[in-house]
Amino acid sequence: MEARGLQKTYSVSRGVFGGHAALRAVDGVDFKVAANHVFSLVGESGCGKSTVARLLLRLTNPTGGQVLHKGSDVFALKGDDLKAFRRSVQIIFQDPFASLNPRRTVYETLSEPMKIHGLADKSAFPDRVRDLLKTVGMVDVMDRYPHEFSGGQRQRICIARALAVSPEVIVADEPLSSLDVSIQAQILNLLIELKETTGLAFVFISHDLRVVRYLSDFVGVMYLGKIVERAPAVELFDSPLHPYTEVLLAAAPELVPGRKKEPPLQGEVPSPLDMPSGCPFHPRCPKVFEPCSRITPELRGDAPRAVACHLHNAY
Amino acid sequence: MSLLSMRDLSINLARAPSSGKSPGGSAGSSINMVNSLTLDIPEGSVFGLAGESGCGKSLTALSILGILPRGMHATGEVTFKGRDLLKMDEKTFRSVRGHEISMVFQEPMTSLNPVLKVGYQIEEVINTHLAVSKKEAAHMAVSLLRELNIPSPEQRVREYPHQLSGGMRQRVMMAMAIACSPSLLIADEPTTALDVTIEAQLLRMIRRLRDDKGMSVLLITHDLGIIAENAETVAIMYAGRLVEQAPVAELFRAPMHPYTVGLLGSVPAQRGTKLKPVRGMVPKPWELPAGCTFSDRCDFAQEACSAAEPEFMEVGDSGAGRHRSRCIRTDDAPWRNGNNKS
Ligand SMILES: Nc1ncnc2c1ncn2[C@@H]1O[C@H](COP(=O)(O)OP(=O)(O)OP(=O)(O)O)[C@@H](O)[C@H]1O
Ligand SMILES: Nc1ncnc2c1ncn2[C@@H]1O[C@H](COP(=O)(O)OP(=O)(O)OP(=O)(O)O)[C@@H](O)[C@H]1O
Ligand SMILES: [Mg+2]
Ligand SMILES: [Mg+2]
Repeated sequence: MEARGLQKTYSVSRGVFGGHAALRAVDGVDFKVAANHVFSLVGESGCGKSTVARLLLRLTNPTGGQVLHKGSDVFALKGDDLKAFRRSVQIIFQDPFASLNPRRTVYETLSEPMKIHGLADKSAFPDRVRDLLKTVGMVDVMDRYPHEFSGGQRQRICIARALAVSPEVIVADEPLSSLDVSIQAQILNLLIELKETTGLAFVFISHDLRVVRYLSDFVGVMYLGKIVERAPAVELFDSPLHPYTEVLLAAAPELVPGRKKEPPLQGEVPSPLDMPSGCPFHPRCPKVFEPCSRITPELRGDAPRAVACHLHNAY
Repeated sequence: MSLLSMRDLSINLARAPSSGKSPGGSAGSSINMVNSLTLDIPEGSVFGLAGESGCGKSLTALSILGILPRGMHATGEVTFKGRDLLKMDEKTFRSVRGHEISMVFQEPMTSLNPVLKVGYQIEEVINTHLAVSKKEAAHMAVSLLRELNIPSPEQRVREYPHQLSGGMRQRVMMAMAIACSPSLLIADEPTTALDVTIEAQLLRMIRRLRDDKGMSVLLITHDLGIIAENAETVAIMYAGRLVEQAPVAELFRAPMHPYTVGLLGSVPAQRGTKLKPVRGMVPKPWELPAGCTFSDRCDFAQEACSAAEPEFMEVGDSGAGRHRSRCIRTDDAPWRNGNNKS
């Protein structure tokens, strides 16, 4: 799966007399994710992560750019091709309760996508559902309803539902953030097992850097709709290049008693309606210098690393 | 010396005789939510309270402030500066609450009044507790926000809560909480809704208040990383009980309760090392296993664990009861050598 120059602009009302303004939720995002790999998007609230997820799934149309799945433009798909795409790319959401129908049993929830996509014979559904549930570590729950389960169990059911149609790509938008730490770790173990045994490609969205470091092969750091740094996970965490990546890493709490460092950054994330000139990060950047407020740095570098910063790329 | 000491604090939920639909037990009985908590919060230090959702952290905090939800009743002793808060009459309590002890709540939006300007809400707290003029209170509100790094505070005080970002709202809550320089600040998950960079700013502020003003802080969180970096002492809560308490460095170096070990094993650290989380899930308060409440999820449980609930006993070599654990296997501590199941 690939995003190329992906853009999404919303038109939002500026209040009673303000008319409309363009909000650039996603502003030129590029990345690729291959089978058997996890690509993670990290960044602070509102930077556009969920919008990217919705675009990848063709749940909303882009203002510009493309999403490619196995080489074809996702937004040009029709008929059987579109149906095959809908099967092949699945999503897991943050809130496992809101995304399950409370009036359907686990069996109904898991067999429905098989029915829609005409996978296998109806008589094979019960066995298939049982297998799926076993994959996510649940047994004897087919006739029960969502409210009978804990958050972690519901998230397992959502994962099983995504797996029901044998997808190739799973987009997971903050799948752990509503869960307790011990349950998070159980689900995280499950995701890693799935990655290792199924060859799935994952796009994993999170603001938890510990989880991202643990799980990802490649990482894209987003700030105000743009990817400001993209790198193999190990390199990103060992030697961040973009000042924003450095700040994020320094701010994330670690399990090291007494490491009381100073928060490296002041101020808030600016509103995407009030985008700074030049580099979007320059008003908060500890390393800001002359060109930053004038020229927007491009995401450049030798693959697989790329950074959008004048410190690293001659402008 | 300790500023606040809790002795055998228990919180029970009395159920109405007719509420046949509520889970567990027979109608008219009560459900135990928090059981026999004993802890001391020293002066001028950050005390971390950690544990998973529903273990009773917020109820414990609310009981200190005497604002438990309806139907909940606290027993035991909560001594603050020599006075038992549980026995204090409401009139006296009102002068303590928000003044000597104050709290930042889990949900900043629901605890700010949406129809009042934020400046007014801060001034209201000041006027209630301090003998200052309206003008002085207004001035204090602005300087508090400035101290909390809110840009152009003169303008912000004239705005309504919905006009502020989540991080700013949280700091307005903080301003209200520290307006009267309390000796104890209770911060209940103060950063859960915040981005990491804003979270780091807020935590630095808490440390600064401790260092500059000698304020004590009860810092409630489920993030052990936040505890590690900000607290001096930490208590781990499970199913309404304290299961371990220790100086922070000691807890991370040599945890002495299998639940703590499981929590630490749940935090992703080194890539490629498999996480070792606690299995299963937290039991409901009315479905606790017999004996040790953690025994049904514990990899090291023995028969004796289901026989009786272990005492909260001193362990390790910190001395003076500073490291305690509620487990009968602390002598052989089988979790120490990575030799998993018993
Ligand atoms: N339907 C919409 N109409 C207008 N603006 C929108 C819409 N959806 C999202 N936005 C705006 O687009 C920006 C990006 O939002 P998005 O939900 O993608 O962020 P995010 O990175 O997922 O944030 P979070 O971490 O809080 O989930 C935000 O400023 C948001 O307010
Ligand atoms: N008003 C109430 N009425 C009945 N039960 C309640 C009430 N408030 C809390 N409880 C229950 O008391 C127990 C402890 O709740 P508490 O809010 O103290 O948990 P917590 O540790 O703060 O969890 P979290 O991390 O989710 O905030 C839970 O089982 C909860 O469902
Ligand atoms: Mg989102
Ligand atoms: Mg709580």
